[in-house]
Amino acid sequence: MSAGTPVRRWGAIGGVFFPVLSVLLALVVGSIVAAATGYNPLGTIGALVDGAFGDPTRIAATLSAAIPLMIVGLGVAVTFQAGLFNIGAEGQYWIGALAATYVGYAISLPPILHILACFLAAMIAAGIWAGLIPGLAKAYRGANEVITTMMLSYVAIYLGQYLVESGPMKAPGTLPQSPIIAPSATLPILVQPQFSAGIFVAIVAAAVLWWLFYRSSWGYQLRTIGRNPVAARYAGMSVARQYVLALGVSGMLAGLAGAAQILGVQHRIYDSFSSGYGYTAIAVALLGRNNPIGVVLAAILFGALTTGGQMMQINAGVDAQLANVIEGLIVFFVAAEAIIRWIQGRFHLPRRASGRPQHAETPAVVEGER
Amino acid sequence: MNVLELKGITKRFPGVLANDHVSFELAEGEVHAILGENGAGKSTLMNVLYGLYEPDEGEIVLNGTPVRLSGPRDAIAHGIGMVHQHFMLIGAMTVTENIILGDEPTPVWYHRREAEERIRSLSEQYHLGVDPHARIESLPVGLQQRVEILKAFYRQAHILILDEPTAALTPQESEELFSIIRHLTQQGISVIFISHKLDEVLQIADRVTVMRRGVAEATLSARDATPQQLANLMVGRDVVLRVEKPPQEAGEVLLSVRHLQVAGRDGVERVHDVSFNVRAGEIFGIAGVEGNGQFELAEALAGVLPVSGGQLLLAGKAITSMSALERARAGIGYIPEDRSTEGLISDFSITDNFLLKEWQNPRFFGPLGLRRSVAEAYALEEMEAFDVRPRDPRLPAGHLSGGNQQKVILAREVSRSPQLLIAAQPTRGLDVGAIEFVHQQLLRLREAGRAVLLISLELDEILTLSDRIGVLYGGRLVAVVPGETATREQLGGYMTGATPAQEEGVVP
Amino acid sequence: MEAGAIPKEGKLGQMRHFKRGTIGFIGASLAVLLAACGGSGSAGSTNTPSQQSNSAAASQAAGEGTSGSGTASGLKVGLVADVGGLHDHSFNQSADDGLMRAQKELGIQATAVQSQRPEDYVTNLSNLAQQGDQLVIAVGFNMTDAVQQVAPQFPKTHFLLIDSTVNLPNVTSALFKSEQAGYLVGALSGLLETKGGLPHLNGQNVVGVIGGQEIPPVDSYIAGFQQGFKQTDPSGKVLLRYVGNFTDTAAGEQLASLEISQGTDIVFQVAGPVGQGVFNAASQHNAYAIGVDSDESYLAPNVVLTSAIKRVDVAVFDTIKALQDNSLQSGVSTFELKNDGVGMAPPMKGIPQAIVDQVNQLKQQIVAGQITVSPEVQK
Repeated sequence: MSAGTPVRRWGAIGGVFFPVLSVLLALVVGSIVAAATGYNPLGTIGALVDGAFGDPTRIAATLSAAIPLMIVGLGVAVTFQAGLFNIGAEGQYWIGALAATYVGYAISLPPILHILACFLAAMIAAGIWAGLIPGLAKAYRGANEVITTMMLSYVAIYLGQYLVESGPMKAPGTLPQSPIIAPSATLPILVQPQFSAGIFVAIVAAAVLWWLFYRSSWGYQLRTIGRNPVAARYAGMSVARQYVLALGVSGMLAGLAGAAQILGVQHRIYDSFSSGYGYTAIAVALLGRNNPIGVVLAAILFGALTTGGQMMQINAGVDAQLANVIEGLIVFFVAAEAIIRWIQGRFHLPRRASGRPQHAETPAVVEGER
Repeated sequence: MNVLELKGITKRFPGVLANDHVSFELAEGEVHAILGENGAGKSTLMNVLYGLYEPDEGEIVLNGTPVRLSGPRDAIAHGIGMVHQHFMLIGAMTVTENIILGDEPTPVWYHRREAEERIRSLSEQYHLGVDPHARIESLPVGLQQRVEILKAFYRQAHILILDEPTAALTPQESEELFSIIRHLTQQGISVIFISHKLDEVLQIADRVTVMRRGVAEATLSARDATPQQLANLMVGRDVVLRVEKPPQEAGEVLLSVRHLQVAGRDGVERVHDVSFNVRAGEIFGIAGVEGNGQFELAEALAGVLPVSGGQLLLAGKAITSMSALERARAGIGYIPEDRSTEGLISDFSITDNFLLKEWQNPRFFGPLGLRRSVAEAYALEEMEAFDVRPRDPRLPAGHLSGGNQQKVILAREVSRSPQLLIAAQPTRGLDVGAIEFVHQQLLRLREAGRAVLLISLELDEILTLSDRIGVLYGGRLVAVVPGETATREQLGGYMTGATPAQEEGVVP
Repeated sequence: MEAGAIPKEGKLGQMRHFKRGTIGFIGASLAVLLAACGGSGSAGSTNTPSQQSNSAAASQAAGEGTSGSGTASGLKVGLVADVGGLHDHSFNQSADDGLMRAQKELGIQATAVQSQRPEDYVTNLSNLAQQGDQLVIAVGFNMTDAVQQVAPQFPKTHFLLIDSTVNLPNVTSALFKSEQAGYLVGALSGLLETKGGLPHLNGQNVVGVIGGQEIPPVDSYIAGFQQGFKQTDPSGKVLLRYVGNFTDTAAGEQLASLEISQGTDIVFQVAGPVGQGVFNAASQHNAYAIGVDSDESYLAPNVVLTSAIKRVDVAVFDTIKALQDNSLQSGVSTFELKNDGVGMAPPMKGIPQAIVDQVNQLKQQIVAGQITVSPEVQK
């Protein structure tokens, strides 16, 4: 088709263009909300940005908030790449945190070794939690991974709450929390109060994942299966095995995030330890288009919204909920990206002349072909 | 008298001149076909006429009056109705509801009974045979198309645009459509018939306008035109419509299928006790009406569907229990039936699509991962050999035209120099030029002493290419006949189970 | 951060509470609608008068401009709410009330921050200390670790920790003898069970408790309730269930319905925001409920008999006042019946005066030290 060139141009830019557009739209609508509720919209957005990036400590806080989102987001991206949806990353995050905490306080090891042991334990536990159960169920029994991961997520969270509230991981004393991990298992703090070396874990994870996705044979299989399982079967790929692996690796990353958070920031686990990273990470992965670099950037954005939102309250008296509104709007516009693309395709691009079908524009409409 | 004239229509898109001073006229009660390959500008022209695009230059004259159409509503108001290739119907709603949709007298309610009555009488008037109460999803494709036609007449169309109307139809349904079109023209309706199929255009149209690269090359009377003439105009060079197949001695048996039984994905057995051989330097065609086990057979040979009984030998070696990848390595190439959903990954680059069966090949995936430059060089080389355009290995495969997509698949499979190529519907939906190319490639494999198993629903294709033809009916191989002497009628008899299989015709 | 980027006028102040509701997106969308329709006037009128209508930004403005009402002392006080939010109908809200009262009566500058994640505790406490607040209030035992971490880094800042203890020279820990409040409402329940006097009592002599989690601040209420109930109704039965968190209102409603189906006609909720679910269950099944932490009768007027209250607002106000008077001491401050740090909210109309009198007598006995209440739950 002769229209290849302009389409190509969109294809190349589109990957960055649409997420950025989503964010900008969210900020614009967020400003309107701010204006309508009596704030100076520019000032509000300014306060948000200043709160997130205004000085080195704030940047550190933003990055610190982004660490768990990056790592869990990478995990969610793995399953999206494979055409699966791991909605239970929250529970896997819990499992990882529980395992890391346990190894962190119950075992004594030399410093660096101790940290590695915590990470390893977290990754194994959460990898099994996600890969072995939902992965095997999906691959060999066809059980929908959305359901299984979500249900196991609840199991994980309640298990965790039981363990620290009245179970064996409850610290001596009255408060429902685990003991503090040993200093040998604590990640070094780079910038006070809580920007830890966990950032290196996140960056290494992103780099490794990028290589796996776009350079390794495994990633090639994963992406093929995610986009076209039929073609993957023709190519002799084992779809079932990749499903198990994808969910397993996804869980390992969620677990790693839980461990990094315990070792770097919280140092113990308690009932309100969960902050819904497992859920936010889904939005992070979507906004980052399941590309590790995109995920890192999207996580920083969401981290900035939290940090900026907090600082906005303190320094400008602006309500933190406004940051939540913007966050919600970003998620909305990311989800609405399909709509934006549709509009864009409808009005600015030549429709592909009389040729192949363009699928999935309006699922409710009966396709004429076949 | 002309009901419609398009004068010098020009439409540009960034980087593309989709219509270049196209002129076109349509007389009352006439069928005027627009013929052209994919991307020739046919749809753009119709979208201009339907008000979806504003032309950059030129004018639209309806019944002698120049008009400006700023949207489909305008077009409809001027009596233009369009039936798109992909129907705009809502499956869960009834015929009446679908027809009314968008044309309700008030936003909230309408006279259902009145509407139904009108639809019934329109259906009778134009011999459409549509039940206004039927649910769309319960109707076969041919009837859904007539609902679309009714929709146009309900809005009082007297010019009907049919965009590739036979693409989704069975031959039977196409015939019915043609007789409907004849009824319409008798009643003064004018029809614009868009297609890339030569024979049907010659069959139904009064006049034919051939478009190529956005230009109206010629307008001919269908009575005087020959297929060769039209094909040459469409492609812009002399096209070989009927490929030359030099006689050739077949070599040793490369594929041997013995008492094969295959169950479909639903577990129901679809292939029963099928045995045949394909020899080196031979094209073995499998004819049959859709749904008689051809594609289960193809998938079983490719190793995608498990074999439930029987034996498969490739060059004398048992491959029955080999996986798809092992069979590919052993020398089986496979062109699946549906290229966009099975053969390609449309948002992967062309390079990545070339790697589909190479994910264990150390030439491309080294210890440091994908060797991008090696892979791209390989892709580019193959793209040149198979003339894939545009020649950009990083372009997503989904952005290629159908013909170029099929070339990529062909290139991928052929470049692995297979002993046996299984080609399932290799030319489905392709235009003349691309079909010619695919056919030449299959013949080239034959010449090179490879075996080709061609599965096609197009009898002409089977007859043109095959050295021997097997007919599948109800999952059984009911006949194997030599390609030279086979006739349409003979095969048609076997395909519909009308002629009992002759014992001596079945080659084990 | 330049506060100048934000309008400092009163409009902002009026709007603040209005928007700070925990309903997030929906709330803000509604706000857009309301603001579009009625302007800011309607927004102001939705505020409950007892709550702050003053804001951090407004008070900052007052401080910077050295104007402001009353005796502007220039004392800067910050408050960090935990993830429950400032409007949890519970101790965060109560703490905020105390802060606002101090702002009004003592002329201090107040900043209240709501934490969205547990990780924000350290950041928020540090930020407030960094911006020069002399007193930083950490609401809730969840912030124990955070105070432990932050306080040593800001030795010149004083910290008030609600509901937990940290032993540092610049930390005051406010503890409440909430078992005493629990005792009073327990005694009231026992008296109602034995003597009757309200239409929906069923005479089965069973009462129930819904706890948030098995943690000391919850259990002390429950322990007191058990003892008070046993005191006035020795043969009665107390059912006890925990929701497991302070957020799952639906679970609270289910557990309360379950207890009601087992004969309970008075449910004591010690589950913070989950209490709304308990009230819903009581209201549906024609039972009564008792609120916790602050007077919750406004949430369900015909259902809530009374509330066991913990005057976090008193603790906050008194601490600020002590700081202003230079009489603030570190260590543990205990708030109990004696100093009005805990108590029972005014009982619902219709409860026989004799029963109320009897409860008041018990209160006097506790104040006088004749009755001691244990914070240990009987299981």
